[in-house]
Amino acid sequence: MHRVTSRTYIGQPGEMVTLTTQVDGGGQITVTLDGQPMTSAQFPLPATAGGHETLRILLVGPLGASCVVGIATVDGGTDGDFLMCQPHNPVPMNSYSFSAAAQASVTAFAAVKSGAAPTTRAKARPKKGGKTR
Amino acid sequence: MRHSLVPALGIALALAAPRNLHAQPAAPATGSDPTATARAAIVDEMVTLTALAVQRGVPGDHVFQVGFGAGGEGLVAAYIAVPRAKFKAFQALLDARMDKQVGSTPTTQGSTSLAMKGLVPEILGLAVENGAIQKDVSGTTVTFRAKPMGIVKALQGKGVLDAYIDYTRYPTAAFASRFSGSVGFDTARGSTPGTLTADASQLSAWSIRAEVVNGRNPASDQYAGLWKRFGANLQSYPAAAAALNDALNGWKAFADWQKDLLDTIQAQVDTPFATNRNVDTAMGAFKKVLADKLPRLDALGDPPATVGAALDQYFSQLVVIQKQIDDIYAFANKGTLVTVDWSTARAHAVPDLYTVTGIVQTALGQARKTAFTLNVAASFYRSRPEMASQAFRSFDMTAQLEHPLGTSFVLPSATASLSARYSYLPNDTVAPTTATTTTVASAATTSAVAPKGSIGYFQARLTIPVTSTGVKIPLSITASNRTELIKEKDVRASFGITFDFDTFLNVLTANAKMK
Repeated sequence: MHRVTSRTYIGQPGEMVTLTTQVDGGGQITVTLDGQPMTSAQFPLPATAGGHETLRILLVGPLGASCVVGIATVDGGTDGDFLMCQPHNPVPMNSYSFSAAAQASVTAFAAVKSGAAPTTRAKARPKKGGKTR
Repeated sequence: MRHSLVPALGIALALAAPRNLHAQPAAPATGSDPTATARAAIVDEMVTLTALAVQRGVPGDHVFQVGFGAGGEGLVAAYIAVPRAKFKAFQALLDARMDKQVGSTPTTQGSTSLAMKGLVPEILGLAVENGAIQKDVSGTTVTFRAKPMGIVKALQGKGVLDAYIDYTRYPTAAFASRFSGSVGFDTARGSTPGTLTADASQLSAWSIRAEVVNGRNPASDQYAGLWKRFGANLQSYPAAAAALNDALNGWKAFADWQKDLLDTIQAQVDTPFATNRNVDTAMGAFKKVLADKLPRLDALGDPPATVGAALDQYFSQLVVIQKQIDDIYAFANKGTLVTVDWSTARAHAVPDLYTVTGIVQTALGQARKTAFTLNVAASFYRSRPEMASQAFRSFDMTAQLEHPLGTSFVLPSATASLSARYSYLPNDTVAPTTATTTTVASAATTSAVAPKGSIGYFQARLTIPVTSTGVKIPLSITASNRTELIKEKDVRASFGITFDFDTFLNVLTANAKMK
């Protein structure tokens, strides 16, 4: 799986995604995948190319409560994110977009990404939620 | 039997830090430009979020981008929404104060409070207490109370939220935050009575206090269930947040701005940081990028109607949510608190009087509506006073029940309280007395024999708030079998006004923001 841009990933159909969370400061999280509560730390990408999934992490708690998020395997490692309850963002909710693409496309994307400038990477960004912007 | 009905007017001004450690920190006070102030606070939160992400070792090589990008735009949305009415309603909630005791400690003459509360302001408290100008009531006491850790954090330039995060993350800081101290100055003393000089001649009391048990931390495990239920019951908010995310990313000008921001952070902060791991340099570069890029949001013009509607819906939801969060904080703030207080009272006519007090505060009932406070104290003089047989002075025990009467009562939101106090003087001892002529400035302190025996006090009190201006009117009646100095029954009624200056300022601020 590869990171396209912030919180947006692309991988092969059926590729497994591992989610880790570390909550601190009295926080509680709710994790949903396409609106359904997630009960496992792993989930597969859509089985068919062109498929799309949205992962959401909602953090509630007192000010200062936080959650370190790890998503693997992304570009050979773990991609991270961080949520924290703050005065102007008391209940942070972060959304992550996962898209499945044909193996050839994913391989080509990885090749382009490894030597591409940020602007090139942005052009390769998949359509989020299947919508055209 | 002597009956005296002495009205006492006590005006207490509390210019204190607005919250105790575990009360909810609010955004900084607004200045002349509420929009700029709110945005500065939001930028501070962006920096805090990022700094903590770095500190926590968030994986990946994009750690300085955690506060931005599609799917995580809460703070940027707030930044954009600052001028909007829905945001102002939310901001007004943030500015609302949580909890603070206003009033005198029970040892102050003319006080309408019998039991001493255990909470202290987090950073610095300044309370000026004026007793009634009566024959047996005198003095103007200025009390400074602070938590040493709060002062250290303030000197480090850290905001309340940063300090709070340190408390929650570092056991040492959390332990140190359990201690507090206070110093009192009697402005009626010294070479210029009536003027606070805060020198040795005006030093009338000092104390140190330690929290033994604190059940008021909303981050503690005992409130995990509340937070979990709160999160599970959120229905409309996730939809509003998702809709806002979609709307923002459908706004091309914003998407372009955001892409430029992320690219710049990547190039100027994340990439160099991946090599040199210099946090200070990276944070400096990060702040510089924010200072450059965030103001450009204004150049995007008014958000499209869809974005505006999504912002309004999102902040409408936040207003609802913030009230629920406040309720959880209020509930936690009624948890059990046990403190030990060592105080020293200095008077001219007698040696320093030391008092060790154990204070238990808790709330009764599942809803924690009825507050119960128990004080147990032992007092002894530094040395045996001339007219006393022992240095030990007295045992004292005070219990107080406090219950809100609710809006159904004719006096809205009034609070009723019952207090009882028992004092035992095992030996004849002495007590300072104040001889007053016509002005506070001419007050002179002497001492008199307090005969041994038992003293019982009972106090009934009704506190009536005057709308939400911070003004409260306490009415109380106190009965006792004797006083310290006179073995005669005594019945005393008093009324007063306590004025919470901080609340008053918040009301003014909120009104200004709503305009």
